[in-house]
Order: sequence, then structure tokens, then C-alpha cells
Amino acid sequence: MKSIIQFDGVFKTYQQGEVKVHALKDADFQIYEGEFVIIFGASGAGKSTILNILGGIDRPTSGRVVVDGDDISQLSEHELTNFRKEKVGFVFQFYNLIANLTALENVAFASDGLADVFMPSDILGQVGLADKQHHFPSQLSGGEQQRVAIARAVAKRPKFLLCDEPTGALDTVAGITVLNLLEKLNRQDRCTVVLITHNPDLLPMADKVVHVQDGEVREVSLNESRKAMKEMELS
Amino acid sequence: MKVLSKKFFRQIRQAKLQFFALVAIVAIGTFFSTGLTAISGSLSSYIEPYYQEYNLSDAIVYFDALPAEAVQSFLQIEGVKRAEVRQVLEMSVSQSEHSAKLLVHTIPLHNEINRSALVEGREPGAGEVLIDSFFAEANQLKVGDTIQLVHQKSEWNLMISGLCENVEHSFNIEDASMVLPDRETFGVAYLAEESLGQAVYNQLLIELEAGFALSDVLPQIEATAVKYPYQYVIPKESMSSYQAIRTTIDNNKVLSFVVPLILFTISSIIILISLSRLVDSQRSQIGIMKALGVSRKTILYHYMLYPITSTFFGSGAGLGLAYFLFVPMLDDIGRRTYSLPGYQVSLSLHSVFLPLLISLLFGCIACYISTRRILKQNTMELMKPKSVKSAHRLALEKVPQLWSRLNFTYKLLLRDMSINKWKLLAGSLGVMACVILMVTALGFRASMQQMMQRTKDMYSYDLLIHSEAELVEEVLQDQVAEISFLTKLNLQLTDYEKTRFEFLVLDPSTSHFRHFDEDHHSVVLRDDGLILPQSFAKRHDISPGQEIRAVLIQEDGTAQELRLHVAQLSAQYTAPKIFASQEYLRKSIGEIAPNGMTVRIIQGDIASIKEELLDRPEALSVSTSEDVQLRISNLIKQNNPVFSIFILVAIVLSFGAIYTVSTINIQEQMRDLAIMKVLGYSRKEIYRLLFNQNFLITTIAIFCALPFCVLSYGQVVDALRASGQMIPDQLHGLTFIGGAGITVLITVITNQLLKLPIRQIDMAESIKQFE
Repeated sequence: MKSIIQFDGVFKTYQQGEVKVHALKDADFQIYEGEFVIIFGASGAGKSTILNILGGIDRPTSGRVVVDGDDISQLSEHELTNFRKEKVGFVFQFYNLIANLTALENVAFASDGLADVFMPSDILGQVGLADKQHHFPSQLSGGEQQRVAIARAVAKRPKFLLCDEPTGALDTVAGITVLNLLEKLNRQDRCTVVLITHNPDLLPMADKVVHVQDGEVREVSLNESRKAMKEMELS
Repeated sequence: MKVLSKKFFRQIRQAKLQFFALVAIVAIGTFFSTGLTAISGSLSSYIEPYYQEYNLSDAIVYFDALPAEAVQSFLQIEGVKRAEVRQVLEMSVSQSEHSAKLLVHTIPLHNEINRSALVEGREPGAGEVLIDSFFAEANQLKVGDTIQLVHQKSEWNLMISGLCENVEHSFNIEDASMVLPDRETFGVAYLAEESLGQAVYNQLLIELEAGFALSDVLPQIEATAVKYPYQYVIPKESMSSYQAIRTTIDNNKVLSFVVPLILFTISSIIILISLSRLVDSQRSQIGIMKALGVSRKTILYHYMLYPITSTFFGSGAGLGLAYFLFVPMLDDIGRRTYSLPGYQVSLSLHSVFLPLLISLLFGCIACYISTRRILKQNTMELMKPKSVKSAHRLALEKVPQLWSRLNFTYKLLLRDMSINKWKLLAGSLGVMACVILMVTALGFRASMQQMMQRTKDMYSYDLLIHSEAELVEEVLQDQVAEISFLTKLNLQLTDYEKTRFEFLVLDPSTSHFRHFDEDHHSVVLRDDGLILPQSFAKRHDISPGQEIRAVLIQEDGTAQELRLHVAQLSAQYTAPKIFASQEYLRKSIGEIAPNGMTVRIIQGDIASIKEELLDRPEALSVSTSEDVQLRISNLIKQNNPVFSIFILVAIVLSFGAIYTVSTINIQEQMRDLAIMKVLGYSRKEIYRLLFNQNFLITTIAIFCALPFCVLSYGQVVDALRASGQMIPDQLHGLTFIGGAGITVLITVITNQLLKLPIRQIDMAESIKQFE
């Protein structure tokens, strides 16, 4: 399998007032194309820092982050913007849809100007929202909004999906629907998914789990027998 | 409360420019309010005691001639307290460089009405004259100097015994067409009756008993007056000086209330929006404060610091600017405009406190409205995240062909604006006020330049000489390129308050004078009647084709009653004259020999030729076309500070409104902007979203402001017209474009300043904040 993401000795230090906060310390891991990876850790462990650096939202203080052959820590502001636009699909805990755009427009907005993208209405159909594509976010439930967010992330055919606690704000049923969708995208469409969570119940569904604690990658474990969502009992 | 105050000042530090913009708007309101109140306040508190002390006449009755003993018959009318007769004549000052004139009044014996306020020197005795101090200053005359006055070939050599001002000439203009007095060319003088020799009284001053109005006694006055060669009565209220000062007081009183009211309303809307946004972003903090037992009142007082501080700083700055900049300027304008001894514009306590109170009241109401809703919510609700404002479909979406073609940034923009109408209104109001101020100022300036250009177009001679032809030939010799003879007379229009005009009879083929109507279409001098000044015709409802009664006054003083035909009207913006062709003069009056000429010279310094001519005793008067232009040029110069203030205020207002609303926009849309960045939208695209929003606000404001610009400019022109001055009343497209262009430029500059807060948006932090 081809390596798509490589974290190589990554450090991230924030200056908060007069205090230096070491959010990441010498983080190393690798993700291969088509993998379903969970970055697991407690609150404040450094998961979101990894996601922000991976997604080109933040830059590492030192170290290399190679994504699809490019060291994104060396990219210019403009190149980083293009990287986010073309290669990354984001799914956030609180959906982060644009309130003044309908579901369809939210999806189209993210892939506007890109070639070879999915039709927004098709992708909304795939996430089960064909009949609600003209609804504004405020007219949708949390689960539906998250499905729109997934459709928005997938529509541009990204190299990988970055999902930050995508079920964190949802009830169990809606959470399961969202996870099913992510699993389907990974298994059927071979889309690389990187999911951040603090919920240990989700770990069996991943090919690989990156354990993060106090800003350090403590362990990278592989699931020999990854479980399908239908086999898992989530509460 | 102390801790909350600290928190408040830290908040201000975080949004310095926004707070500064708000302070600037309050400062402008205070600046205008205190300045304009200072004019009306100072003038009204000065003028009434001044009128009383020097006893301004309640009416003046004009006669051709009135015997001194006639006074007794007027004194017998019930309600008339005093009556005094005098002779008033217009005389030329022979040694003046500027063809200056003095309106000379004889001082009645036991003078009680319209007494002069002595500025320097003493009352005049025989062979002495009292002249107005501003005329003396402009002509470098001083007490003890002798001046030669000329009237109808009679001359008087009089010594200046003193300098004065008089209540009846507190706004001392030669004719109603003038915007400001020209003190070099026109003044007033008072002398003892015996100095003139035989006085022929032509004016009767009337003072009424307390409790009587002129309307009560007017029928008896007129009944008595008709026994003599009576002309007309001018009540105090119609006298140009009294009227001009009353209009200034009244207009400024209204403006000093209306202008700040508009500005404070704008600042209140901005406070309302800023505070609503601030309070909204701090809802969880308010929840925590309430949970900790801080009372609603204390929280409200904490937010009240916002309007209180902005009012305090804004009023302070406005007051300082008014005191150090506006008041000295108004004082200077007051001195140039009015002849009032010892008059000074000063700030009163009332003028300081009124804007402060209005601003504070408006600001506190805005603060109360913006915090009331959130303070009423229960603590638990406040600590939960706020639900997103519901978006809704726009009418435009019903036209899918159009909507689908729109770029996403425009869709976002239009939906956001439809949700935040108040914000749009606040921004637009500020920009509208800016466009109105800008267009009015530029329009007035363009009018002045237009007046200048029209005057240049009208008078294309080099010298206008009132003298014998031989003298001109002798002095100018081979320097004359073109000469055109004319007859210069005086015409008094019988039915129009006996207004006097200079009457120029020209050769129709002369190119030295050209005539234009208001639209700058050429008006050709015809042989079938007069060309009358348009402003005068409009004021008195005279139209071409009409016949008017007039008295022609020749140089020797002989008067001839005539009926003249008005053929055409011409726009004349300064020193209006009546024109006729030599053929028309011949037909309606008979042969009158030319008494002057206009000359174009080949080469040489016109000013030195003028001086050379003036040195010759045979030359009665010499003027250049530049003299007329100079009047307008002076007027433009005098008005320059006013234009600059208007434009500066407009710029600050526009910047304040756009910047404040935009920064609030950025804060409110922080999450959306961060998401756009995360989704790979470049900074340029994000700038475009906000800039388009500002351009849309500016465009809407410009279009909405257009009718108000016309209205505002119309008001200015009407106010000037009411006092008889003629100003071009059309706003040209270029003026609109200029005003709109500057406003757009301010928007562009504001947009550039907004790049920094957009650049500073931290994607990760912004998203985390909302989560």
C-alpha cells in the first residue's frame, strides 16, 4: 500500500502568554492510502493538534509532515490553501456548516472551482438527504447536519477525510448513522479516513489506532481483524 | 463593579479602532452642535441688547422729499413714540482705488433712533464724517484723515471724526446679490446735516410705543405719508440686515439641533449593533456573572460604560475641536460677515451640555435595548451555546435563472444582509450622511467655480472706463486693441421697492459683454427691450414680455419716468446689472451720448494702466473685469475652511460607519470566515466577500442619498436665494460622481484597513471557540 501521510519527528509548541505549551512532542506515524485510522486520546492529549497540522490549518514547530509526497510544513500560505481546497475533507464535531447556505449550497461551496468532483445533489442523495438539500442548517437535525458536513467533505474527492469527533455532538442513533457512512466511504470508495476520538468503543472499527497522550504518540496499533459497524455495539 | 470596569477597558483595548470610530462620530456631532449653537446663541444674546441699546427703528418710510415739519404729523399717530428725518445718499469716494461707495446718512438733531455705536473717535461736527470701521480698515483710513465724497458732480471734503457701526447696517451689503459684504468697495457714513449744506430729507425713521405692532399703525402712517412724495415703508422685519441676522440665528438653531440629532442617531445605531454583538459574544460570561450572584443592574451598568465612555471621549474631542478650530473660524466669518462692534462667538454652557446629554441619552437607550434581552434570560440558558440565526430564502431565489448564476460569495452576502437589516441600515445611514455632506460641499464649491467661470465668460473686456474718450486715447495710445462705447446710467424700478440697478446701454455687436441664461445658453442683446437679472426677476415674478415702470437717473441727477419692456433674463451671479441696446434706448428715451467705454488692450499691465487712469482727475471710475472675478475669488477663499470641514467630517463619518459595521461583520462572521479558510478559500476570496458587502452598502447609500443631496443642496441655495443672492441651483453629474467617488475611495481605504483583522483570523482557534 502507498503511504499517504507521514508524521516525522513533529513538534508543536504554543506560546500562551509567558508559558510555553508543548502540544506535540516528536510525533511519528504513517498512514497508508485507503486506511481507516483512529487517533485516540484523552481530552488535551494533542489529537486536535495532529488534525490541525494534517489538515494544513496549523504548522508544526519542527519536523516533517509529508502528505501525498509533499512536505506540507514547507508549503507557502497560498500552497497550503490550495492543499486544503484540493486534498483534504474536514468533518468537525459541531458540523461547521455555513448557516446562510442551504445543504446543497454548502456542499457545492466546498468543491466550487474544482475539477472532477461529485455532483452535490448526488452526494447528498448518497448520505440520505436528497429530500432536504434545499434546507438551511438551522432546519436540519444534528445528525442531518453532520451528514451534510460529510457530503461536503467527500464531494471534492479528497485524498483523505479528517474527522474531528464527528459523533461527539450527536445522539447514539445519529452517531451510528454517521459512522456507518464513514465506514461505507472507506470500504466501498477506498477513501482514507482519519478519525479523532476519545471514545474507546470506536477503536475496533479502525485499521490502525494512533494512541496519543500528553502530546506524544505512545503507540501505533494495527487491528488484525477490523470490525464492521454492524458487528459493534455502541451505546 | 471595579473589576467589571477593568474588564470593560480591556475590551475597549481589544477593539480600539472600532471604539475610536464611534468616538469620532460622537465628536463630529458635538463639534457641529456646539459650533452651530455657539453662532445662534452668541448672535441672539448679542443682537437683542444691541438693537435695544442703539434703538433699531421699527420702520423706515421712504420719500422723494419730506419737509422737516412733517415729523409732527407722524408723531401725532397713536403708537408712534419717536420719528426722525434724515437724508441718505450714495456717494463715491473719489480717491479710492476700488471705486468705493459710501452710503451717507445725515444724523438727525437729537438723534435717538438708529444711533451709531462709536468704535473710535467722536461724533462728527460740521465738515466731519463718521465712517464704518470695517470700511476704514479695508481702505486704510483712520481718524483725522480727510476723504473726498462725490455725489452728482458735487464734492465734499470731510475729515473723519470717528469710526462707528450702526444697528441698521449690521449686515452691510451693497446689494442683495452679494453673499458677503465687500468692505473695500462699500461702507456707510454718518454726518451732521450742516455738512451737506441744504439737506433734502428722504427717510423717516419710526420708533413705536411698547405694545404696538407696525401693523397697528401702518394705515395711519401711510395715510399721513401720501400727503408727501411718498415711496414706501420698510418694516424692521424686512430690512436686509435684520432679516439676514434673524435667518442666521434661526437656521443655525435648527441646524444645531438637526445635524447632531442625525449624527447621534447614527452613533446610537452603531452602539446598538456593537453592544448587541459584544453582549451576544459574552452571553456565557453574563451567565457566569449571574450564577455568581452579580445583579442585573450591575451587569447593565458595566455595559453602560460603553456609551458613557464614548460620549465622554467623543464630546471632549468634539468640544476641543469646536473650541480651538470651529469657534475661531466662526468668529472670523462673523467678523467678515457682520458689522457688530465687539461681537465674539463664544461657547455657552448650554451649547456644551446639550450634545453631551443627547449623546448620552441616545447611547444609554441603545445600550439598554441591546442588553435587556440577554439580561432577562435565565442563567442556564445563557451558559448554553446560542442557536444559529435562521436563514431564509430571498425573493431573488424565486428567479432560479438569476440566482443560480450568482457566485457563492454573493449568495452569502445577500442572505447575510437580509438577516442583518439593522446593521445594513446603520452602515448605510452613516455613508448616506457622508455622501450628502460631500455632494453639498462639492456642489457649493462647483457653484462658486461656475460663478467664476460665468463671470469670466460674461465680462471679457480688460477695462471699464467711465470717462471722456480723449483721456483714454491719451493714456492708452497704441495699446488699444478694441474699444466699445457704452452708456452707464442708473435705473430705479418703481414697483419693486424702488430697487436701483446699474443700467448699461451697449452696442449689441460688442464682444466685451456676453449674456447667458441659467443653462448657459447665450442670450443675445435685442433692440426690443431690457435684459433683466434672472434672480431679481424670479424673486419678483417678472417674466419676459412684461412691462415695468422705472425711473432713469442720469448723471446730472435728472430723473425720467419710463415704461420699459423686459425682453430677456440673464443669469448674473454678482453685481447684477440691467442691459439694453443703444437702439432700444434711442427708441424708448431718445438720444443719450455714451459716457464710458470698455477696452481690450494689446499688451501691458492692466493694473498699472488702471492706476494711471485713476490718477487723472478726469477719470470718474475705472474697473477691470478681474475686479468682478476677485469678488467671487475672495468668496471662494473665505469659504474654503467651511468646505474643508464639511469634507473632513464626511470622511470621518463614512470611515466610522463603514469600519465599525465591517469589524462587527468580521466578528460575527468569524466562524464562517474561518470555515471558508479551512475549506481552501484564499484570503483574496474572503476579502472579496467582505469588500463586496461594503461596496454594496456604499452603493445602496449613494443611490439612497441622491434625492437627499438634491434636497440638501436645494436648501442651501434656497437659504441664499431668500436673501437675494443668486447661486447656480443645479447639481451637476460630475458633483455627484465626485461625492460618490470620494465615498467609494473611503470604502476602499477602509477595506484595506480591514485586511489585517481578516489576516489575523486563526482557523483552529476560531473553530474551537465556537465549539
